[in-house]
Amino acid sequence: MKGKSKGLTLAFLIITIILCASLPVLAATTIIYNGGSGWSQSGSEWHSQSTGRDGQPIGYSPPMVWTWNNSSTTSEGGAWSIYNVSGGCYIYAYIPRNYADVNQRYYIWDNNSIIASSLVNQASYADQWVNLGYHSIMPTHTVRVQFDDFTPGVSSNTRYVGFDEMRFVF
Amino acid sequence: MVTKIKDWKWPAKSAIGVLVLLIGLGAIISSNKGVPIQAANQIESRVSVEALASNSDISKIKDMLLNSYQNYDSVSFKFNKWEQLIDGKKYLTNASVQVVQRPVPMVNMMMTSGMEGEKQYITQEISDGKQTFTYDEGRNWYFVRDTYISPDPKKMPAEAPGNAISVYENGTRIPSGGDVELVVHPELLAQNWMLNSQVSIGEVEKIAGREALRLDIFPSEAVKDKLGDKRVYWIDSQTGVILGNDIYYNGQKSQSFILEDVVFNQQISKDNFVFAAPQGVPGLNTIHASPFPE
Repeated sequence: MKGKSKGLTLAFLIITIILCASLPVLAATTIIYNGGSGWSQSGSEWHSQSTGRDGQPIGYSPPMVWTWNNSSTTSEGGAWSIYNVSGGCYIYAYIPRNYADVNQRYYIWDNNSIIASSLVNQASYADQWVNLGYHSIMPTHTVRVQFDDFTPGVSSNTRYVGFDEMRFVF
Repeated sequence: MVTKIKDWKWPAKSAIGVLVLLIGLGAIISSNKGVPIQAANQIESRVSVEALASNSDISKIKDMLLNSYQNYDSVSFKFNKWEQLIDGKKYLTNASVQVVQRPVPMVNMMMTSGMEGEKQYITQEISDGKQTFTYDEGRNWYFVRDTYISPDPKKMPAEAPGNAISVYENGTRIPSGGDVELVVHPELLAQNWMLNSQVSIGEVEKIAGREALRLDIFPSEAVKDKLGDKRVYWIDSQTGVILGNDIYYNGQKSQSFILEDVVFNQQISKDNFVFAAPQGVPGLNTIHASPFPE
């Protein structure tokens, strides 16, 4: 009887440990929606778009927002942030089929430091998630993806700078 | 006095068992999350592949694109692209690139881009297999990060979205290179247009001094407005590397690149992958400097 009790206790311990270890893996995805919690934006010339040129809904979760590119300075910018992260993550940006065709860098920040950039030609993707890569983030820090309209060397008002959802997979 | 394990009380034995279990679980979870590792012995050895031909079926072509990095040890090339802007001026991108896949993945890219006849902005990305240095003249920023190499570059997280486009994290990413990265990561092409568009397999043509299979890709009606009505790619028959690309909008060629001076499997000195700041940039003592110190 005593041996059976020990066995049950041990089995309970093992199952508990496995469940606890699995939890962060099971609940690993967070999507930051433009306009929602974790989203911030600066500047004033923003356009909200609920439908594409075909009249159908546009964006992962409409509306998406966009602005024109700027050759000389940052006038509009957006950021998707998650606070107090558990560690490194894959990051995916959703690129809608219209109103997003700039060749621009997404900057990834760990707290106050840029740790990576990823140049994405939005003109190459339509209604797809583009992987910005795996990024090591210090636990408890804030991970932030920054994107803006500053395109040095590209004439102003010639490109749509599209902002939609950002997906973080920890 | 030495105590044998078999003489220990059961809680002690359980504690050891739990400890071993935790270590095992830790190792499994760490590998799933892709903790950075040294890559030298992680890259699969080169496999012998059959060259692409005009009668190759689409699954073979896709397989070549998805496994491209395993088909060569190193490549160097020059990348020249033009893109038509709406005011009629061309946007130019020129790059000089060296990529080593084995034994240690390394990258050296020097890229300039800008409007034709105007200032060309430098972007530099160098990885020595351990760290990656990125310099961005347009923003006046640079930063250094650990090079991330996944234990299984093709494996994406279980929660990755179904329609995601992912570059393999095999140590030769060129994230600041945009379309330059596409050249040595043709898995992007296989995951993207080949899945959602009509593909016409053409003939083997001579491009950039190499045998290349031509693919004409016709985006679906829903995305023509953005992706154009035709995209032509020339795929290196031996390796899957993308040697050239033309994009047509309304029947007009609006974007084009073709590689020059393509050389595979040449010994490239490690010295080419040492961080070296462009002229005018101070010494690199600071990691994650941002914005760039004046």
